[in-house]
Amino acid sequence: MFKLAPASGDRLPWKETIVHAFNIETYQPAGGLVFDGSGNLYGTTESGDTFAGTVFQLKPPIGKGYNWTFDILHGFARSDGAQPAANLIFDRQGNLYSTTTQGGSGTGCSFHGCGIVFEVGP
Amino acid sequence: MTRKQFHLFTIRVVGLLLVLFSFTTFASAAWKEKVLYSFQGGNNDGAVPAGGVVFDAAGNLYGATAQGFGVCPPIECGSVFELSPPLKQGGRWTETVLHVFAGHSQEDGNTPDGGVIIDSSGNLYGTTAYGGTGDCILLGTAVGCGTVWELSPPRTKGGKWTYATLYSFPSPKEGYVPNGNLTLDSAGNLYGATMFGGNKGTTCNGFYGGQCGAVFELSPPKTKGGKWTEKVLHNFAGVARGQQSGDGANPNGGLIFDSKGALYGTAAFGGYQKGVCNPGGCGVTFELIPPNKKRQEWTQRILYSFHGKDAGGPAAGVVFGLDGNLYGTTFGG
Repeated sequence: MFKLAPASGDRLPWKETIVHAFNIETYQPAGGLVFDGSGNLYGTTESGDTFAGTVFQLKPPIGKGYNWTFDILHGFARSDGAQPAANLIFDRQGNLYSTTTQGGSGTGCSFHGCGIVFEVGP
Repeated sequence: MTRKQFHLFTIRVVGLLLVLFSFTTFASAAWKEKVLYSFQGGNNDGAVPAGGVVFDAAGNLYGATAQGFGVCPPIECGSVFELSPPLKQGGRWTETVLHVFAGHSQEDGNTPDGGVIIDSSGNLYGTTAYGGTGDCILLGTAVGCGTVWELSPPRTKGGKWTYATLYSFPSPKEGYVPNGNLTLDSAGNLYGATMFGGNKGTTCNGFYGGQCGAVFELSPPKTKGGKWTEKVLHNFAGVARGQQSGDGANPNGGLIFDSKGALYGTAAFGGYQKGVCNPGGCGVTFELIPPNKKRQEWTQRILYSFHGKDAGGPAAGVVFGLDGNLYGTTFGG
């Protein structure tokens, strides 16, 4: 995941910083990102060794020299969804909503499930 | 039970309750997932909801499935769905199918790969990667060049939604394979990207003609019943063979506006073409600046070309942080 900051004097290119490098546990962030009001970032990853995709949260650094904190909010287990590829949205209560392209209880597809709509909440 | 046994029993019960309590506290601190709806696929339901969901003001969710309903095999054309929240807490969400795509042979869209967007009146807008009346040929089959569609809510409760194809991309030159989310401005214009087509580039996927994609604007008709008109804001040239750097290629939708009306997005390929990024390039983040008094056309700038070692293949657009910087993800890196 990257951050691009404008260069001084409207020069190009903008300055890139790697905010988080995904690893073998969970990778391929296919959907877009969404911020909450406190500046935390939320997104989905499609693949991983442990899970069939995840919903993740990245909390901004608590001070200079600190890193963003990465947390998996939910790891999909196929029966409850798999391979999310889209961005998340919030409801007014702070729950997140999106889709997964596979998984769930559907039987009419050649892969596991036919995809689901999910809610993930604190 | 002796008094001592009773004390031991009490201690055990209290201990167990404490353990249970702390476990509950821990569990409630974690996030929980609920499956609101499982698509069934086959001939009667959608499958592969690829683009997420949006809410309307009443709390209904809307999205699109890229496949399902057995229409236009072997790939299937997809659908648009509504999910209504349960009437009682803990009840089930109910799916209503708003449209099943019929594909190019029926002059309709095929494969909505992105999500839907909703305007303040509750109208839904989206793209289909294929279908429509356009003359695009993929592997010898006429597939259409993709569409932009609208679904308008019923005027009276329980009435039918009205579906309309707003625009069929007529040929690869005007854009081919529109995907990802659309963006709406305050004047009602729609903005999006096509992965292929446009009139520039020769190095992108030959099956799709080799052009490297475009960003388009669709403007509503000036008179009622008129046609929506397309304007290509930027044709992506990609990066020519043997060159170290060039334009982006294969933009993927999900464009965002800043407060000055400039558009920002990502293109998964093109840009820097060396080392692990050769051939094809590792992708770019770009900006499109609207015309002003001096310039008639939109101006494109590459804000950053990914280098592969750091992070290549941005395929999901960008968002603005509270700090005014852009944030996004890449497949590589």
